[in-house]
Amino acid sequence: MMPTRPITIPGRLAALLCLAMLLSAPAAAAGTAAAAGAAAPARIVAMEWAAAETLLALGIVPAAIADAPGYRAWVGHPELPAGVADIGLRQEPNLEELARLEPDLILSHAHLLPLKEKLAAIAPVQAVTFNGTGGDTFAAILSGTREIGRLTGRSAAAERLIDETREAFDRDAEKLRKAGLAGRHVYFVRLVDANTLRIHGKNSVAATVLSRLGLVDAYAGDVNEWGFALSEPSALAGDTDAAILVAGPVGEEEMARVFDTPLGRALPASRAKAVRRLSVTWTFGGLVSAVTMADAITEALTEASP
Amino acid sequence: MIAAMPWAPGARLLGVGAFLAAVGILASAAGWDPRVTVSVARLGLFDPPNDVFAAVMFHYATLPRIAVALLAGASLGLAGAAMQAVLRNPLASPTTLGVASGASFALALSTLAGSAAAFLPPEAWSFLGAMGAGGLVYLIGRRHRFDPARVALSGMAVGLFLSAAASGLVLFNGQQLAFLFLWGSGHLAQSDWSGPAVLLPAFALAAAALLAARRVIGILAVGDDVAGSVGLKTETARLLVLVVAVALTAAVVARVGIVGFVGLAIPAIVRLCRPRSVAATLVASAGLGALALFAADASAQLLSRSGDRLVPAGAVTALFGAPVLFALLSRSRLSSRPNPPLRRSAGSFRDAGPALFAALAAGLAFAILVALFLGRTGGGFELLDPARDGTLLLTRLPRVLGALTAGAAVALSGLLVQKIVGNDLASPELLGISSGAAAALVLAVLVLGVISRTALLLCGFGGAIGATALVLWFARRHRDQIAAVLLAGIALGVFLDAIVRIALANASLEATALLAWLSGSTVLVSLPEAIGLGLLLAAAAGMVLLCRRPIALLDLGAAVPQALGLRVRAAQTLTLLLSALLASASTMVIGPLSFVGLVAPHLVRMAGVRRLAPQVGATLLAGALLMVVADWLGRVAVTPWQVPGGLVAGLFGSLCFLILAARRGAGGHAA
Repeated sequence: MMPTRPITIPGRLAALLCLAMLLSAPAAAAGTAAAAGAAAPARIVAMEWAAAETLLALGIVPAAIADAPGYRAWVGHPELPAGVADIGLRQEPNLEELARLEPDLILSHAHLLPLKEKLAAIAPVQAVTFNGTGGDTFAAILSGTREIGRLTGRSAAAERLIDETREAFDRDAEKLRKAGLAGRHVYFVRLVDANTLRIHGKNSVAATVLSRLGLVDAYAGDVNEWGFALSEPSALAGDTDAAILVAGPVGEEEMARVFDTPLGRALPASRAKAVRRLSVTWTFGGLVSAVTMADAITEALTEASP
Repeated sequence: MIAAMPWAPGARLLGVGAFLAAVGILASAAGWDPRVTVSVARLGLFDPPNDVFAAVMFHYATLPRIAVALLAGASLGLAGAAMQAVLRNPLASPTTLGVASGASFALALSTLAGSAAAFLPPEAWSFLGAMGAGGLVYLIGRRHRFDPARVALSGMAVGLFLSAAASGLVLFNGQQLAFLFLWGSGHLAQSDWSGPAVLLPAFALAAAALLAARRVIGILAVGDDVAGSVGLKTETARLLVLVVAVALTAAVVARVGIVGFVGLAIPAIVRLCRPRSVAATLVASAGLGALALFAADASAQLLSRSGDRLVPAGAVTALFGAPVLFALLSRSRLSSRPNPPLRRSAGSFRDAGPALFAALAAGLAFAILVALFLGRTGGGFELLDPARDGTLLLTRLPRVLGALTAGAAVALSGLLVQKIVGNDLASPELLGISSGAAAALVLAVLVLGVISRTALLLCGFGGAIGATALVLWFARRHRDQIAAVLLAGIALGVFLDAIVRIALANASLEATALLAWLSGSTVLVSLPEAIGLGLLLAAAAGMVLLCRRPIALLDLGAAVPQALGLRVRAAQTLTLLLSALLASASTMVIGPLSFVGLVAPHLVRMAGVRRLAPQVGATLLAGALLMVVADWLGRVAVTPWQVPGGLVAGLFGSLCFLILAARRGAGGHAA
């Protein structure tokens, strides 16, 4: 009698949950149609920073976002107005606070799939995933931006944002070309600890930004589905012509722990004085973050070459 | 394998050493950086020119890394051997005594404090944390005459408390503390010679001190009675040896983070080779520890080269060390005394009357009402009006029910585990059940991507059952050796934790999401899930009550029930399976960190409940009460942010357990 127990209970649970999902799918679809067709939703909650910055860029102030202090520290642009409510951590949102806000639309994403039914009980949910899909992140950002534009009835603004992004890239690329920096090789990294860093490569936003700016991403190795590889500082010696750009926020002290060691000082980029600290640059954001990144890269590189 | 060899101890130890060295050299050769050619290496050996990066790398990264691996491994092996000898405890090691977690937590705190903590280097903070945690475990252990299982359990309690606290910090400061995952699994990369410069003197001093004290260690290893009769101040001697071992561990942890298993497994392997003297044991443990960590780090580098991931050496020591230890344990008998816990036969057997049940039930009812109706918004506490705010009540209902059923389930599971193990401080965590569930969850997310809650639930369930089956199989072979079973459970837990750590270190944003689930986030519980868990719980409790006679007899040891005609093995197996089922189901809701399975049955026993039937009832009520309160506290403590209920329970539960364990003096055993 014992062995049957482990099968029946989860089985029943599974059946119940499957049923619940089957039933909720058409309901959610109906909700979508209503959201897209009728009046644009006024009170929107963003469960992730990329969606939050996209809403702000489209001229919509979200009713609430997850981890507002985190947004201000790690994303920064566009600035988050003071009145926006905070619904707690991105992974552990406060559902009661969310329910109290009575939102018209919740912008979720694929990585919060386990929460979907809970969110759907509060308001219509749309999953718009910008990052960590394993594919070309910039393509995901473009379609995500258009999707948010469509959901909020601001498709024109979304297209305008995409055009502005392209213009900003062109402007930065022109600046770099004028400075004679076209084709410059660049490692784009974020520091983890004294002997570990994340190198952004294929499929990352950084890779797209670098290529749009007419620069070359010096890292060609394998990456994970978020577009970066966890590696050691010696990996930054592979391309002897490359500059090293470190995404901010990052302190002098953290920089010194990696680049002011016997090993760090011997890196080709260190010897060429081509290691640069960037201002706040969110590597998993939307189009505004991509432009912020492009501007930061351009500023750092043009400063670097007198 | 090794124990079966008919060779002399020296030859056996040399054989193991040669094997480890061969693995290390082969892995190093296979994973060698092609940039470092023979001429580059010659150039880089002493004074590398700054313009040849490969030579600089050889001099400042490759060579110090090998040196650090050898030194850290030797230090951990030595420290583990010394701890195990003077505590007469095969379960003692830098990681099982909570020392490593203490260091890790102190480092996280000092990082968050930023400039406020800058007056001391991070190494010093980590050192203070290690000493603090080690000291706490020592104080508790002393009250229990250093009973091996008890000391290891207190160590794990301290470790779990600190890692729960560290998890909380990472959850709220994920971006700053991302490195903790790597640091917590012993990443040995170096960029100068500062590591060896710290570790070499530390190791040399400690080794000299311990070898000088080899006679004292030898006497302590025989027993306090003998030590006392030859005029040794046992307390002082033991304390001094332990301080040396903990200080050495702290130095290692400060430089390279937590490298699990070397300190536990290497002395165990050495003991299986039966060396003839204390000095030989210490030297062999240091030597084999050095080679083991060298081999592990070479393998880690090889694994890191072949992909986009970074595999820390500490994870490799766990990945390979755990199965090795497991195999060794299952083939041979642990050459240590099995130490049956002393039973308290003094005091009354009068059960606490209905007053306790009334109090528990009233407390639970009150807690449920508060959890359902009292919330907190930005403005302050707010009483919910069910007529007006039905939806809000419906949002709360599943998580309150989930916390209630999961808490009760894990409490019952804990009670059963304690009956089987025969140790009233055991807990489901010891069997690796929760680690099994956690590892399966993480692997499922990483291999299959983001999957539905149902699929996650089933994966975690499978992992938990698998882990329990392994320990169950092991327990069968070693029914009478509780220490061996506990060691196997710890081995499995560390092994699975290594998998989780590698995964968390390499996945960025998913890592914190996984961490939230693993910390016991009741946000995800749905009403059908809570009801399903309730049904399971009711069935299990019913079954336990039906079979209360054989289960109650389990903790009398194997001989008595057998004499009474009870099939001990069958009863043990069924009870363990049931407790595994309950623990894994509740792990899915409140995570693996909750201490409810340990605390609830313990509290009930402390309240004077002795017979099984009332024990089951009171344990269920106490577990439910603890978890409902913990979940409510997590919900309202720092709104709008939510602290997972399992994490709150883990923090409070382990703290509560620590206080209880510390208060209960040796007097409890004396009768």
